[in-house]
Amino acid sequence: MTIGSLLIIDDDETDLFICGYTIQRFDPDIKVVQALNGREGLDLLRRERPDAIILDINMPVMNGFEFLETYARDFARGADDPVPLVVMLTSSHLGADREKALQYDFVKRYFEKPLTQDNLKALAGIIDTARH
Amino acid sequence: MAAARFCVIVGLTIGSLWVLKSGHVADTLPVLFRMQFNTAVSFVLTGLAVAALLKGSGRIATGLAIAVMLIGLAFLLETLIDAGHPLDTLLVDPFRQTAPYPGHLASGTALSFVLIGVCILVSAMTGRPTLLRIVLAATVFMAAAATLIGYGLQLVTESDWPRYGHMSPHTALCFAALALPLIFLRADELDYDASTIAAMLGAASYLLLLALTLLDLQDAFEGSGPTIIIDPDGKPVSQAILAGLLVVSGIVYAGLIVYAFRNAQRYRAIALQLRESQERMSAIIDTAADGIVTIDARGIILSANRAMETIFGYRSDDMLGRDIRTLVPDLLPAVGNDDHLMDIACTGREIEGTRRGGMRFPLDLSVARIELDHTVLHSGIIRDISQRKQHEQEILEINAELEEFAWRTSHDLRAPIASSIGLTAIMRDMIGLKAPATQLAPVIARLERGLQKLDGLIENIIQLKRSRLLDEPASCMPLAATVQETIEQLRFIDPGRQVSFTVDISETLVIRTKPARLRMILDNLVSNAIKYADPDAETRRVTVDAAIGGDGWLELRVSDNGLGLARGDESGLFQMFKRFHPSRSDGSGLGLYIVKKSVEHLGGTVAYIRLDKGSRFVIRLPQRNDA
Repeated sequence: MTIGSLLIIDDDETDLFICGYTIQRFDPDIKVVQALNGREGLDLLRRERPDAIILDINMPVMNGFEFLETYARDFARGADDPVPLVVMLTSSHLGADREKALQYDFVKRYFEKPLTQDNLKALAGIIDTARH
Repeated sequence: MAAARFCVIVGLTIGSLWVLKSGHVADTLPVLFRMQFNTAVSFVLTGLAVAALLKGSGRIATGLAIAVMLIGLAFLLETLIDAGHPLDTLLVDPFRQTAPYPGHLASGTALSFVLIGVCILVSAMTGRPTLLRIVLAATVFMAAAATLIGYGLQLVTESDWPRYGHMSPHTALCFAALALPLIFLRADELDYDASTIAAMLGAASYLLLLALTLLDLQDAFEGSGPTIIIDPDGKPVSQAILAGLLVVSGIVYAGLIVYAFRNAQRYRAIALQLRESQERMSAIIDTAADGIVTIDARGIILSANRAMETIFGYRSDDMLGRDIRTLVPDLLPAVGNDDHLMDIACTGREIEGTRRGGMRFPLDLSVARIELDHTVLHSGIIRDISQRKQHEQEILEINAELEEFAWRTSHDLRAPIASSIGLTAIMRDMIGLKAPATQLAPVIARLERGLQKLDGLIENIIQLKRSRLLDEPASCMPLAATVQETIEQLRFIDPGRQVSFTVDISETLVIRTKPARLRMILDNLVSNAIKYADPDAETRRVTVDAAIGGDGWLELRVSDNGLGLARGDESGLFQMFKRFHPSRSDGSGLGLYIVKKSVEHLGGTVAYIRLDKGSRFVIRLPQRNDA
C-alpha cells in the first residue's frame, strides 16, 4: 500500500503548498510533481508517468474538465494499457461537477479541498486495487 | 327513393287491377284503366331501376332500363310501321273497352319510357350526373307536367287532348315523380343550382302547354284537327283552354309582380346589412394589431390589412397579387413545386418573414383553411415577434451569465476558505511537531493572502452588483482630472512594480456621463495595467490618452508595455472569471467583465488591441450620455 509518485494539477499556490505538506506528512517517499494548469499537466504527462493525478477544476488556461477531455482522447487507450488514474480535488460543492467528472472511468474519486490524510489513504487503496 | 316506390306501387296496383279484371272498379273509376297494363308493368320496372340506381347497384339498373327501353321502342315502332297491334293483347286480355287499344302504349308514353330508360342507363354507366341525363329527364318531366296542368285546368276529359300522347293523370304523375330524382340527383356536382333548374322546368312546362294549346287552336281554326269538340255551349274546347290559360297566366303574372316587389325590398335590406357588416369587418381587420392576409391556392395574396403594411413595409396595394413567398419564404414549397396543394393550415407556428429591403425577422403565424364552393383560400394571422425574440434572447443570455456567475462564485468563494481550513490544519500540525516560528510564519502569510484575496473577490462582486443596479444621474466630468485622480489612488498598490504614467488628455475635455461607472472603468483598466506590467521590462509604461473623434464620440485609450495576452485568449478576455496571468496576481477574473458591462451601460464599446509589446484597451463612449 504505497504510492510512488503523484501529479498535482492546481493553479493555486497555497493549495499546492497544502497538498505538498499533507503528502509529505503522509509518506515522505512519495515523489510529487506539480503543474499549474491542465496544459502544463498534459505536457508533464508526456514525460512522466505518475501513479495518480490529483486534479483541480477551476483553473486558467486549461481547466480540469478540458484536461479530462484531452486526457481521455489522447492518453486513455484501453484496459490493456491503463493510464494513471485521476482523483478530483476541488472546492466545488456542486453535484453537477461531480457527475461530470465521474463519468470518465479513469476518474476514481471526487475529493473536496483541503486535501486530508484520509483522502490520501483512500487514494493509496485505489492505486493498490488498480495494480492488482 | 319515394318517387321510385310510388311508381312501383301505382304500377303494381294498376297492373293487378288489369289482371283481376275488376269490372266493378272499371265501372266506377274508368279513369284508372286509362293507364294500360303494359304501362303499369313498365312503371314497376322503371321504379325498380331507379331504386337500384339509388342503391348503387348499376348492373340491375342497367338491365331494367334496357328492358323498359325495349318495351318503349317496340310500341313506338309498332305505331311507325303501322303493324297493327299485336303487342296489345300479348300479356293481358282487354276485358273492357275503356280505351281504343287497352294493352297499347300511347306513343308519348312509349317515348317517355325510352327517354327515362336512357337516363337511367346513362346514369348507371357513367356513375355521375351528366347533362344528357338532366335534359332527357327534364323533357319527360315537362311533358308530364304539361299534361298534369292540362288536367288541372280540367280541360282534358274524355278527349284526345293533347293529341300528342294519351296519358292518364296517374301516368303523368308517375313520370313526373320518376323524372324529378333523375333531374336533381347530384345535379350540384355539375354546378347547376337546383332552384334555377326548377324555375326553368316550370317555365318550360308552361311554355310547352301554351305551345300545345296554340297548335291545337290553330288546328281548330283550320278545321282539320280531330279535337274540335263542341261542348254544350257550342264553343270549341281550345277556346276554353285559351281562357283558362289566360286566367292562369294572369294569376301567375300578378304573383310574380308581388314576388318581385317583395324580393326587391328584401334585397335592399340585405344589401344594406351586408354593407354594414362588411364595413364592420374591414374596420376590425384594418385596426387589428396583427397582420391579416388571405392567399389563394397558388399563394397569391388576395388581401392584406394595414398591420401587414407596418410589419412588412409594403403598401397594401403593392402586396396584392404578389406571391406570399416574397413575404414569408418558407410558408409554401418553392415555386414550380406547387401543383400539389399543400395543407398549410396551422396554429401558432414560428417562421421567418422578409421585410421590404430583405431584412428577415421572426414572426408568429397561424393559418386557417377556407373552403369556398369553387376554390380553397388560406387566411393567415401574422404577428411580428422580433422584439419578443430579442427579449427572450437577452433573458437567456442574462440567465446563462447568472448561472455562470453562481457557479464561479461557489468555486471562488469557497476556494480561499478551503485553503484557510487546510492551512490552519497544517499550523496545528506544525505546532504539534513543535516547529519553529520561522516555519510557521510563511504559512500564516499564506493564510493572510488567501483571506485578502477573498476580500478582493467580495469587493469585486459588490462592484459588479453595483454596476448592474447602480442608478446615478449623469454629470459633467473633466476627463483629464478624473484619470489623474485614479492613477494617484492606484499608483502605490504594488510598491514592487513601479510604473511610469503618461496622461495625454486635453484639460478642456469634458464629458457628460455617469461618474461612478466611469471611475469603475478607469479603476479596472489602470489597476490591470499596473498588475500585469512586465517585471523584466526596463521601464514599465502606461499611457492614457483620449480625444473626441470626428463622429462626436469619446475615444479613450489605455496602453501599456506589460505582459499582454497570449494569442487565442482574446475571445475570453471580457468574460467573467477569466484570468490569464494567475501566477502574477491574485485577480478575481471579474475586472474586465466589469469594464465591459459598465461601458455597455454607458452606451459605449470596449475593444482590445494587441501591441507589439503589451496591450491597449480602447473605450468608445458617447460624449453626452443622459440616459
